[in-house]
Amino acid sequence: MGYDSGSIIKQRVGMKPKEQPPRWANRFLRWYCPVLLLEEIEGDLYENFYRNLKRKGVRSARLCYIIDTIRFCNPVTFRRAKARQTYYSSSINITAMLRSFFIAAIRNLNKHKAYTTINVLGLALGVACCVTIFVLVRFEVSFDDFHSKEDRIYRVNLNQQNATGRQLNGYNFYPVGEAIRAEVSGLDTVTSMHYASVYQFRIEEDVYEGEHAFFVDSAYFQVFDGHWLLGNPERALTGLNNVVVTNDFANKYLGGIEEALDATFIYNNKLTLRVTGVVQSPPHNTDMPYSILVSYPSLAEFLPQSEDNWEWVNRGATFIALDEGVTTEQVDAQLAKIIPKYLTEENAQHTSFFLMPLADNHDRNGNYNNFTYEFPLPLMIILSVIAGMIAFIACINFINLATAQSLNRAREVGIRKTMGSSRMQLIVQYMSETLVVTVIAVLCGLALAKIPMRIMNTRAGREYLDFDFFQEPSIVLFLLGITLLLTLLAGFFPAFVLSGFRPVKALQGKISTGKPKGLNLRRALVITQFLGAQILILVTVIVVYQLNQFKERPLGFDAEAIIFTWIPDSTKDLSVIRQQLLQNPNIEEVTMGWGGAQLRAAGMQFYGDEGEDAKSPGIIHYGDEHYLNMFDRELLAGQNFAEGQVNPVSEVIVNETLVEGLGVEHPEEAVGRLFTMADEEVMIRGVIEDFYTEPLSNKVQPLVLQYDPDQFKAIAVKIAPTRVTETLQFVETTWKNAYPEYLYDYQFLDEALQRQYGFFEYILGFLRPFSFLAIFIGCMGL
Amino acid sequence: MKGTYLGEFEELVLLVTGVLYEQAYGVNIAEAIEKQTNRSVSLSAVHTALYRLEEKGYVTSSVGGATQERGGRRKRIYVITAAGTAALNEVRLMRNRLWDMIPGASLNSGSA
Repeated sequence: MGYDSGSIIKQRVGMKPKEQPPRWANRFLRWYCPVLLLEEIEGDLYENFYRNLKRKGVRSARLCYIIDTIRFCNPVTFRRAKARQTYYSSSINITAMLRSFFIAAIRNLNKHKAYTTINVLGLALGVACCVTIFVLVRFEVSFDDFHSKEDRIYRVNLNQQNATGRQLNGYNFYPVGEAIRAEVSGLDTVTSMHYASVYQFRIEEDVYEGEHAFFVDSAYFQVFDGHWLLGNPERALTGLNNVVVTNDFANKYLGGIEEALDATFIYNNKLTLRVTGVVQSPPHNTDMPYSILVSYPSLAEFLPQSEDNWEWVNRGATFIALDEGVTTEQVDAQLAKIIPKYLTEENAQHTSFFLMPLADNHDRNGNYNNFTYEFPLPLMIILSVIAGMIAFIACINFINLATAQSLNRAREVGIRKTMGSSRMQLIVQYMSETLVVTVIAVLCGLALAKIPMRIMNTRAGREYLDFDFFQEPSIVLFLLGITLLLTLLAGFFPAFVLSGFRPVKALQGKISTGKPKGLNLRRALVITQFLGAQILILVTVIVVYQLNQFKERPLGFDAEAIIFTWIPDSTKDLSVIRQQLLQNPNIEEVTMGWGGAQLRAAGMQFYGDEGEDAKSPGIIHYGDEHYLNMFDRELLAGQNFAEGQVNPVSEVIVNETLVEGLGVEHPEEAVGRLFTMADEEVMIRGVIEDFYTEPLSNKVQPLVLQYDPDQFKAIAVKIAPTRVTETLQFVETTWKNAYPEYLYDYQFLDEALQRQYGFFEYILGFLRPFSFLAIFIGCMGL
Repeated sequence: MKGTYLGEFEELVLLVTGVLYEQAYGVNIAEAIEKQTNRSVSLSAVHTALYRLEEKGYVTSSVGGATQERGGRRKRIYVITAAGTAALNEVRLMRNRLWDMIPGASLNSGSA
């Protein structure tokens, strides 16, 4: 249909130029006439023309041709074309064509099994990566989006300005909820809560540990959605020492949902709680994954200092739900009025509140003290990009393999074209072949994706990553999208190249000897592919190297030999338990404190003679007189804390960096000097050498070691490398004797240090297999 | 399907299609009609008639061979269907009936 008839006739019949139908009439015919009818009409017109030519001469024939051309331009022609089209498409042609394409595709794939396997496997790996990341990101994005008031819920955050800059905090003063209730209009509900990440509870004589306890008021369920199984939603959380538990908690510890009601247990050895209600466990995708909800009035007993305290921020948060139609600006203005009214004049100056939408709670990157963990947006983007890269590399692979293989199929193309196949039909054919491969690959990829998801579920200890086709249209859409995208990306170029072969050359076998089309592009693609893989590997290597640098730099002491346990009750005499522990010959040293090594400690600000304007940040470790011996810190000048007695908190040991920060040159000169730390004046008692204070940086922070028994929360025990199991057993027994009502827990210091690399380990967990995959897929294509 | 009424020109085309048997396609039909009836017939009229006949189910078509004088284009060959034959027969029978009903006198005066 597409060939130029004029030239063929000229060549074959050898006519004079005039003895041809007028070109313009021909062009006009081709312009209006539907393709389906063109051949027969044009053929008839030609035949007629040549008959007329013989009989009546050129002029007459040409005239007749023109008239006929115009006559054919009538409604019947178009109606006829339409009728024929529906006749074709409804009955045989299109479906038969597609069926033949698919049969050809499957036969061809079957013929080249190795090639097919490589293609499918490569694409499947790419799909598996994409599906895993998609499910993961979708899970993280979906956090707390199921609450019916979701778009109206805000967290009241705290913004405290100080010398080092802004400090944004998701936790707020405890009485702020009450103040908002009294002062701010336009609100649907206000709810206050206190959060405990870990808690212990005792049922009769058995002590257990639980995660995620919230102290909430009865407005909680007016802001957030929840499903009550038992109890009165209005009253269950109003009384003192009441608790609402989840069905999982009830089944696990209280012998069933019905049995749970009115059961009692002791919370953190302090509160005796009575169960007044049972609710459904919250879904996985929430930042408030409560296992128990303690009534808010109980907080005054549990944490007396929280009451009406406008200077202390601990783990109290306030959420509000706006009335419909109320803007955040309207509320902001009213919130600003609370500050001068309740805070001291000094604090009010550098404090403000701001509202954070609930939707930002989980994916905001900003140390806002989310209850569970944050999954910052950049991380999601990084992961998505990595997954995209893998999929892209897999696509390039496919393109390369398909174009390389296309040479073998040149003959097929030649024959198909000779038989009258159009270029478009060939493109459709090769695209449908790609579609077959992609569909198989996507199905394999889905199966493969189950593996990383299962691993991550096992690691997290909960079934949070999964997909269900029937319930979630998003996953179906995603899969359809990825199938189409991969088909287009991977199939377009090979289809284009293949369909472009000239039939004569292809049949003569000339194409395979000549330079195949798109060789440069293929080279470029291979380069891109390996570049992508290289980047992934490079990033992996850099992260691994950097992390190892931090992990392997000298600590100055043997972290494997030190274990930590906790001090649940600081009122007891610590020296007694120390003496008991030291009776074991395998225990070399015992120290009480908090922080130490590179573990995160409290932050503070200090300044010297220059005054408050020269404030700089530092950190505090708490420890007794055995701290230096425990961690092998060398004293450069001055003295250690006095042995066997309570040292004043105003005498501290500092590191070299802090001394420099105070503008003193030699450690010796610093001993006995006064400086201000956390608004208290302290004296330097001793100076120790610097050590790395940050787990993920080579910076050394100014450090203060303070003897403050109120802050001692941990016992560090240095044990000898022999008979470790027995020594550990001994520590446990001693501890349990001292604190019989608490649950014993310990960890090795090196493990605690390891945990600080969590974020990087998390990313590495993806980078390592992904860069390996990228190379693997790339190599498959070679 | 539309009405099965057979127009005069359609009848002609149908008859010629039958006459040309397996050689019946646009130009040939037009030429045959011209030869047999001495009237000038346009190609598009023949095509239109063929299309109508096809619509009524009196003919079917298939793609036939190409010839040089057609510039390599294939013909569409038309063949009468059983329904087409029946329709032609009916027309003929009706004509014959009518012929038989005409009294001899009337015919004679007509010719005079």
